[in-house]
Amino acid sequence: CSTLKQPPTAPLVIDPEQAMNLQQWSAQGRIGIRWADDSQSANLNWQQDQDRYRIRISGPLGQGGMSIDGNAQEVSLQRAGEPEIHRARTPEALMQQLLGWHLPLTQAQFWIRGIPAPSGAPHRYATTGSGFTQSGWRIEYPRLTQAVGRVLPEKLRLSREDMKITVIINEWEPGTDP
Amino acid sequence: DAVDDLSRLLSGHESAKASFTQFALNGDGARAEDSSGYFMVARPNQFRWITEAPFVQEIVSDGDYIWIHDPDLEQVTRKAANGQSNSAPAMILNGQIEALSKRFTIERIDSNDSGTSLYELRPIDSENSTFTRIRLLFEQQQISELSMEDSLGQRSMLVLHDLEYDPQLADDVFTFEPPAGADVILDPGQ
Repeated sequence: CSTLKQPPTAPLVIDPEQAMNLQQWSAQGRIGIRWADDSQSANLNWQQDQDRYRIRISGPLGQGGMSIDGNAQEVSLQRAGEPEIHRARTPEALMQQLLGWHLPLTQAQFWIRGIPAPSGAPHRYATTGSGFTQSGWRIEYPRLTQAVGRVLPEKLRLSREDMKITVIINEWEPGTDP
Repeated sequence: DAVDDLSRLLSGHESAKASFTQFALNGDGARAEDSSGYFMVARPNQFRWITEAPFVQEIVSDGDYIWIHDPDLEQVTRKAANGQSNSAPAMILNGQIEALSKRFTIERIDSNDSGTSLYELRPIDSENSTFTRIRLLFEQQQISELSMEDSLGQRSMLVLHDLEYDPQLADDVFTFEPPAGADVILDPGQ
């Protein structure tokens, strides 16, 4: 058979519509958070079904686990080794209260798929890496991948002047009910 | 009793080396993560833990500090390696059974005469313990599996391969050199 010369792979580009209509998904990878004088890195497992989500964060050897479960109305957070379940109306309020920082989780469920959140005005700007700014965060996608039948981020970087969050996703999977 | 037997099994050596595969299962059994790599440990609390797949991560404890290097996350963190931050799995691999027995009840729940035995550790203060249960499997008197369950129902299993006691180790094996250009976050220490 003819040895077809591999066409130069066109650079992957996010198709906003395809990214938006992925409503049930799970992403498995790692998250690194850096503040001025501290940094944490952990394993990340994020399951989303419409507006219901379950996010599990765990350290090496299954330590320092944390589980955030929520939907549009309510969110709960529990840390391994602590019996209390903390509840709040929004994930942002809950994280700020418990962790002293917050990630706009409601919007991050779109950012992680490579698209701005529909609410709020996304100031899209072109940089070498594809990206945009929204709600005071700068979002960049240093690496994209093909998964679940579309192009999705493999590495994303969210930064604000006092914080940088890096997320690496090594496995995208179609929906599983959180 | 079980504490002495476990001590004998886990502290008859100064250092150890093994490769590992780690599986994590979520509370509902969904596979959360598989990773593999290798580690070296030396008493009392030195270790080098290298994850090779699916991502690269290096955790080095030189006894004073624990360095965590995540090349893909472009992050290097240094934390003080004070005693209480020592996790149960690290203490197990380092044979610190005496100290562990103050935090966990230790029970041998199965054994046979071919060197296979199964130990179970349950936290004494279960309300505030990260792990609700740890099980250690020994085959031919050598530790081969650690399975851990945390209070969120997250279950992780560490399977060890080609374990070697008191192996040849390079003398800088427990020192960490930050890679050139990496900006190291010196955690002021918890």
